[in-house]
Amino acid sequence: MDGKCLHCGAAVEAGDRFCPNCGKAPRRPVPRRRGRHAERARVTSMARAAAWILILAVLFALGGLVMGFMTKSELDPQLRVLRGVSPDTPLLTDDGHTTTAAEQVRLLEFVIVFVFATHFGLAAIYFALWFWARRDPLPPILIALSVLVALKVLTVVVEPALVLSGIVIQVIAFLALLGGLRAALAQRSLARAAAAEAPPPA
Amino acid sequence: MSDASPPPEPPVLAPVCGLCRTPGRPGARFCARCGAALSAVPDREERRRVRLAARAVREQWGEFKGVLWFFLVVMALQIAAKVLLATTRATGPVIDAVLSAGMALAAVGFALRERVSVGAALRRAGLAGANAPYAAGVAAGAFGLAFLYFRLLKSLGAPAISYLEDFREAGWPLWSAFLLTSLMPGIFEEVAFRGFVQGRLARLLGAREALLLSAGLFAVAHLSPAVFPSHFLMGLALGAIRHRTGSLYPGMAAHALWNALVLVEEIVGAGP
Repeated sequence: MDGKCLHCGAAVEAGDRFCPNCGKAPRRPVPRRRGRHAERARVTSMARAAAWILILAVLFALGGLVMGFMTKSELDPQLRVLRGVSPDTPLLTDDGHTTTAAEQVRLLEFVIVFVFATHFGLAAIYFALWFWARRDPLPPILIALSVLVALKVLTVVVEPALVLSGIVIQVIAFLALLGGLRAALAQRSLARAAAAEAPPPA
Repeated sequence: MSDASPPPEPPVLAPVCGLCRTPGRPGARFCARCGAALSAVPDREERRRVRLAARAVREQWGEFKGVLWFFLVVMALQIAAKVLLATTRATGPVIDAVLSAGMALAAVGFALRERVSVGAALRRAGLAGANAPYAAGVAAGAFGLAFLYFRLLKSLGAPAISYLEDFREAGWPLWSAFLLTSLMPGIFEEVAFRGFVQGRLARLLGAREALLLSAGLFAVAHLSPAVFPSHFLMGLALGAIRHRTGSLYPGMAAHALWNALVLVEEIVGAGP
């Protein structure tokens, strides 16, 4: 449909997205600018990564509650038995070492504290990273990503049977963090390039 | 003063859009397809600017990916050690030796890809002026805090980790334990984390972020949640020493000394 430009009245042809005379959009008053789309995609990627850091923080906190109380209820019967006998009672551990009832009590109590502490510690780290990511996304996303990978590797090393648990969420989080990292770095490179391009102050 | 000739006026009309290559219409000043101005010269500059920026983004991401690959290689080494332990009859010290050798190879390999900054850090002793007392003070402060943290863990009931037991059981001499758990990590972890990682990130991001991130990666790479805080602290201290002295050697010395102190404490503590 041929017609006239909304802004300058020059003749435009069907399919023209910009007026050949004034460069504005001849029909709708919102001109598109190059680079806008890419920048919006980068901002979205970074926001998505930050959101996943928050999600992981919440998951670690919830996981800490679940795993902590599960471990506690699992070990409590053993602890009751061990506390009932003399502290010096010798025991043989699974890997063939000898220990005493008192030492075993200390160890089991530590295991419970450890499960709570690591999960809540990770939740605290991820909350802090999320807070940091809202100001400056690149460093916290890299740390969140490396901690995620390290935890997976730790599972492979310590408890290979559990390697597939939660894998879907972990893969999605991994990809989101990787995308956010790439976007954050690109954003910085472009900002640096733009600063280098800008004319020096007179 | 004003005898410099004015720059030639760019042609007002261009037959083809410089940006999207759509043929322009006679008399048009803007491209009907992409809206770019049809004056040729500014468009070429704009295209050049966009191309350079895109190349900078690609190059920086490529360098950044090197850091991610390094981290994945370190993780893969840990998994390889686990597989070795599970599938062969290799003893603890053999695994330690394989891990140390793998880490050394990875450190040297990645450092070669960052040879300008790592090389500069290896060509100087870095102890001029107030650097030596600075390095000693930071290292001593970090040792003290890490020691207090280990005391806290112990008071919570954490089981003591024995580094020497495996060596004793396998009949390896004491010096091999110092070589594999003190000297080699001291040298090659410094080359890798303070050399490659910190050097490259400092170039890409800036010194302060490089310090934080290399300390974080250093702590995470040790794959032990219980010692994460102490390793992060140690990573910060060693990174600060590397930044201040501009050399890797003071950090190597501090790192090897700390690992040696852990072994010595085990030897002394095991006595009567």
